[in-house]
Amino acid sequence: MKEVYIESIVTSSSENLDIKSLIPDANMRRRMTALNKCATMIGIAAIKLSNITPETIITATGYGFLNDSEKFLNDMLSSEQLSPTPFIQSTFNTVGSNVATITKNNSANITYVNGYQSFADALLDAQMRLCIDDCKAILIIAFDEVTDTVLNIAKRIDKNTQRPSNNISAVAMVITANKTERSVAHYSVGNLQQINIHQHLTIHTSELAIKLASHICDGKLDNPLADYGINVTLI
Amino acid sequence: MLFGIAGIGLISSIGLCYKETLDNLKGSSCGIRLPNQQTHYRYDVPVGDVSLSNQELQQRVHTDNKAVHSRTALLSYVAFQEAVTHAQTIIDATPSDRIAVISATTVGGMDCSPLFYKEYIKDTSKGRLRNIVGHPCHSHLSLLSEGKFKECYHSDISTACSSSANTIATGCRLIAAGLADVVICGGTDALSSYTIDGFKSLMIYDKELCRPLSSDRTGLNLGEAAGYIVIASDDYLKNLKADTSQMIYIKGDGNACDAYHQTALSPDACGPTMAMQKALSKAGLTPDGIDYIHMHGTGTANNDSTELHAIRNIFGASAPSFSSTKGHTGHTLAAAGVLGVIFSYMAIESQSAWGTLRLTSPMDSECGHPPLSKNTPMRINNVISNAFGFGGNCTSIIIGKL
Repeated sequence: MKEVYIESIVTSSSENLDIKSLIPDANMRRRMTALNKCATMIGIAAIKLSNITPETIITATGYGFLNDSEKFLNDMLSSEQLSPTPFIQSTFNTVGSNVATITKNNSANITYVNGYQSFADALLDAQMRLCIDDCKAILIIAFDEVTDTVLNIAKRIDKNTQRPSNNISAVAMVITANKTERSVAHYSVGNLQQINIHQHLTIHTSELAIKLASHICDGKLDNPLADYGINVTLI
Repeated sequence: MLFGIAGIGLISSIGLCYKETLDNLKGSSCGIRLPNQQTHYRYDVPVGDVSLSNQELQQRVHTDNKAVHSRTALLSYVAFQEAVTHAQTIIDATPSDRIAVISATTVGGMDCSPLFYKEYIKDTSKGRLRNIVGHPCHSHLSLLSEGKFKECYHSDISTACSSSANTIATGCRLIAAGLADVVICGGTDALSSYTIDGFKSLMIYDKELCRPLSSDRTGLNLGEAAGYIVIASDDYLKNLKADTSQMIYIKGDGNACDAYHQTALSPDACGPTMAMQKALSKAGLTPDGIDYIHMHGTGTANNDSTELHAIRNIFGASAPSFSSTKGHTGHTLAAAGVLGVIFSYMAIESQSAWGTLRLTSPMDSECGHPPLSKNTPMRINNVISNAFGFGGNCTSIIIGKL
């Protein structure tokens, strides 16, 4: 397949993001936990930066909305009157749906929930759609959060588990079929079989995305996807 | 490109395998049980449960990986094994690096997680790891990675009730891109107190057996199931000298986002309409090329009326026959999409469209005729099967003979 282009990278560390203009509906904002708000916000910010309407929205998360899941579990166990909000917000495609609803985007929408590999799955899916489906631009958002509970569990399995430097990390980027003036890199997936990255206990698939963003934007890290056969070339 | 369905496996409340399921569809059997009839579950709502306990399911798992407790994973193993056994010849003839597995789940190991969590919240050093290690969605893939499948590309999709339909679209795309020759696609979801309580909080249950497409319907029943299909391109199958004379193909798929609300579809049925339109377009078919619509038809007020609205949008006043099988199996969440495709396959194979159970007062469809209430023999070449999920994720798949 032909290589495809990366642009308009926005991360959870990006500054100067105005949440009220990105997520205008106050009721919607109120119901969203931090991870949901962050991932939705940076997704919309990436669309605005690129000024292209994506023809597919792909989201990728290793473990989804752990805080919402825990909240609902707590409610279940305490026999409180169950609020549907955390249940609904724990649905893995919530962010993709939020971005679509806010930007009134009816195009294809898909979510990969495949542990650490999810972001790589998203890159593969995007390239396929751009190369064979006649898509011109696709939004990818990778996001994950860590909770004390999950850290506790991870440490029991591997006592060397480190707490990530941020509880939430998320990266959004726009992938295009053709080079634009905003393109910062291009990538191509190699051998499908090489994308086999379940062995990491690391909690964040977004960490993979953050490393890619760092490789592209700061030149500080090597291509974190090289081991998985995904070639990345900086422009 | 046409993608032949070379293998099928499924397990649900109406059958532990393909043949049993087909017999039960032909017999209009209902797999949903009332609370006083439930077996190993003790839920206070009707559910479509698989009639095997976790222990019985574990006995069917013949892998090195014995430490699997999540019912979602166990169900996926059984269905996957049936599908790949059915397609054994094709799989044996294909190297591992040309095979991919795309699965889907929304529940993952959440059937076991509350067992961990209720101990953990009392004391954070407590809670058995075995009840939580299977929690993530991708955990069940380990049961689909034995033997020949160990080195294959595996992925997992989770888009609520359209999840497994989306795996089929992704599988077709992998083949069309030349990255794989054979893909096993499908999904799995077990019943769990988390989802039972979740749907309770949404208040969209029927307290009795659900009545999809009835004008006095009050909601859905949940079910559990797993289903997988093995697909390969027509050219690839012919090159392997497979007998394709009776082959049924995936002809097109369409996915769209309704972009309206998390849990309700839009009044103008935008997402469902676009999904069906895209599938028709991809299949190169006009609406009159469809012989039967296997609906998502959950039995909720919102879904059934919106879906009929979408059918009217596309098919007008002369729609083909349409029905729902959610009254047989309950709503099996992530597995619903692939189950719909398999039931559509069975309809083509039997040349019979499935009746909607308990259709006491059929909705006025304004499509020229009411939903089918009984199994109806008819000439069926092409079927469109719908799966619509929370977040407005709408997917339609068209299957048919050449």
